[in-house]
Amino acid sequence: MGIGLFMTIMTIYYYMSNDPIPQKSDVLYRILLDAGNPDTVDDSDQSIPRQITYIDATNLMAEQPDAKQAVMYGVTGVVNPDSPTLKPMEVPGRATTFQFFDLFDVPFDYGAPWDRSADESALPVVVISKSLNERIFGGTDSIGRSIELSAVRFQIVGVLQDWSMLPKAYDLNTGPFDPPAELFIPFSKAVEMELPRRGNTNCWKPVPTIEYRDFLNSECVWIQAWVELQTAEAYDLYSNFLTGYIEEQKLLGRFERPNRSRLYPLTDWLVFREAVPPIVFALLASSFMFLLVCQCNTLSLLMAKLLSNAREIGIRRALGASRTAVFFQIGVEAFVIGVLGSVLGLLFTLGGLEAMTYLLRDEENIEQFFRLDTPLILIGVATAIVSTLIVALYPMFRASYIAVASQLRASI
Amino acid sequence: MNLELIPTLKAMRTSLLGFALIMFQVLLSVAVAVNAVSASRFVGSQLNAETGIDEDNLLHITIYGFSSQFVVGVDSDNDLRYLRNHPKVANAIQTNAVPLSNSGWYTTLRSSTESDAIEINAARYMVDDQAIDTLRLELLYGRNFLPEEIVWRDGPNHSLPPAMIITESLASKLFPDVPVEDVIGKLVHYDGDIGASVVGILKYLPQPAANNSNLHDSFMLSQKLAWVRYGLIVRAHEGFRDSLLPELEQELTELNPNRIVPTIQTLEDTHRRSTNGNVAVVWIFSVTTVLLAITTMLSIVGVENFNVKRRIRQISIRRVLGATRWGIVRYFLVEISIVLGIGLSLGLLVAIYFNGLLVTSAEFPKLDWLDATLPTIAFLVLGLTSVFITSLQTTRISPVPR
Repeated sequence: MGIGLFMTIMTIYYYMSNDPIPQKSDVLYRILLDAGNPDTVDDSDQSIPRQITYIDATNLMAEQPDAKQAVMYGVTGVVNPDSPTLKPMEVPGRATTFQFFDLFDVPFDYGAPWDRSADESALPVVVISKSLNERIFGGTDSIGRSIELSAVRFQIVGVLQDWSMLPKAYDLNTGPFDPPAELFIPFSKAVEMELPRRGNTNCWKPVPTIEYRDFLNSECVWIQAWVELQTAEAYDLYSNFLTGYIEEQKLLGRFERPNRSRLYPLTDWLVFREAVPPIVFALLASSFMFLLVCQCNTLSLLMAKLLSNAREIGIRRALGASRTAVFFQIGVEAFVIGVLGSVLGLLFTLGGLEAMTYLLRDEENIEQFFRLDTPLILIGVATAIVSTLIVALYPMFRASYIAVASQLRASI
Repeated sequence: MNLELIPTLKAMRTSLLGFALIMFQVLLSVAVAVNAVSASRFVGSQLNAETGIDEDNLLHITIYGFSSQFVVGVDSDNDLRYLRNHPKVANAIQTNAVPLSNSGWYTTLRSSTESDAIEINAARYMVDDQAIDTLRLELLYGRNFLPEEIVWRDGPNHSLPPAMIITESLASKLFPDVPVEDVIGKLVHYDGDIGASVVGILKYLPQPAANNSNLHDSFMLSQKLAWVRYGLIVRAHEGFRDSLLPELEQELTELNPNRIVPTIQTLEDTHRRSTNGNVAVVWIFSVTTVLLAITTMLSIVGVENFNVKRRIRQISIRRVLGATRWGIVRYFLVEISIVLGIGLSLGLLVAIYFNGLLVTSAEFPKLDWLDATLPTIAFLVLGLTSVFITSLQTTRISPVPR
């Protein structure tokens, strides 16, 4: 049971603390620019805005054309399929720039990302997810066909493979474990269409009017920016560029706070933004304690068994069994207990995960968290056997040092 | 009362490992249980917080206009008119955010434009004069919005809303030095230096963030959004909610082909979805605590059973020497009390240490005396009971040594 409970929580933790893109997590950086309110500055990183303004997003893209970077935000649109049997549907999307797919190693089934010119001239091109392609085009190669998105016709240039990132590191605002976007369109096109945003918008300075143009020119932050920097030199170059950029903008009366802009490595970003809520750590810790308590039970049971079998062991020793043999006899017993424990524990885990899935049945995507995979099963079995063997060490030593003579004498 | 403490302690050395294990288990169990009880009580109090709205009869709907024929502001008013004339609908409003839905609009309110003004981040609802009736809110002081105070936030005829209604908790935080009823008529500032005067004070108005500990820090502005994507909240006549939902989904979709109805849900469902993560947390903590208690008790029973068996000779000798049956049982109880006492006290210390970690890292509440005493007493009673029952078998041991 100890193993079962521990493994149930471990499974959740394992998926939540997953490195979403292990091959690249050390070269991807979130760009943070401190365009916040100068009146409320404090020393903690928490007060640096987590997103950037439209002005900065367009400037970064224009001034660093050769960098592998992307700016993005969540949008929502209505896809009106041409087929009369399908009804118009709301689809979550992502407005971004062409290097997004390269940055996050997004795999394509058909076609390819759009190119730089599509971003520059705000072309109506779209990359759609595998599931959207299945719903609208029955899973066929739909490159070159078009869909109507919020009253604008978009040309399909790419269809993704089944792709999801857990956690969705590029934008934690729209729920780190929510399903990924179903369609991707050029950033410039989404802005031109004034599509409704999904995610978080933060304004410290009042926007003069409610016109969209004024919103774009405001100090409101709502855009995420990521850059890939392969080498230390590239990193230095880019951070020097950022420092220079801030100085330049300060002359224009912006960035009134001391410059604390920075490049946040992807894994640190996940920790900083608490992609894994601290409560999950607390649950993991408490289930680990329970495992300890269970293993204390194993130890006291083994000891009780040993002491009541002391005579038998004494006889074995008297008949010529070596200390090592007795030592390993208890070891084998413990190993068998560990194996049995891990099997029962895994069964218990399945029950526990079933219960969790039921409790959280309303969450989207939830089944992704509650399945066992090979590494998890290995972790479970190893934890059960190793921890049982560790607690069995003491009885093993005790057993091998049971005196032959005293045991025999006492029983006569 | 002579409890023979010293000899008991000395005798315990013979089965030191068993007792040490029990102590360690009790220690860990209490350390976890105390924090689990504390966390569950905290989360539970959030789950059971009074929402102050008519949750049982409310539906909320999202509408999304997508065609070029969709007219912002006009089509939403048509929807509203349709709903308000519907026989099964008691009332309806257009809104920018839905209470308890975990998705909303937050704005910082300021008590004045001075630099020493009090600032509170609060949930913002942009609604008309039917909001109080639709949600069935309780107005403590002042009045509702007047129809002529309702303005459009965007579009060609937009203007600034003149009136604001805030909750009692917000009023007392923004103006701590004034009685709540005197906040009526005060100017509150938002979005920089825009001001609106407070015309009414509500008892409750829950935020979209259902798990926020400042659940009722919210306000309403007398304005409506003119936008392609908007929310509607509908209060059904008592008992009609569930039959209304599928009807409205179809009727609203057919009413206007220029927009779709992406979501239509009961507020009850939405509230449950917003809080089910917390419900799961309470369950995991409860199950862990119960399992800990069971495991620890099993361990105590196991060790004591073993001790009884091992001491049968010793016990019968003591009985011969004049010890009563009760005396023997008492001996076992004293023994386990020492173990439980040490385990529980150390466990409480560890619990306080863990709690310290959780307070700083996970924004847990500080332990109060109830969190600490409930599990402690429970473990003490369970431990003593299981030892009492186990040691009863010693009463059957005859004084004649075998």
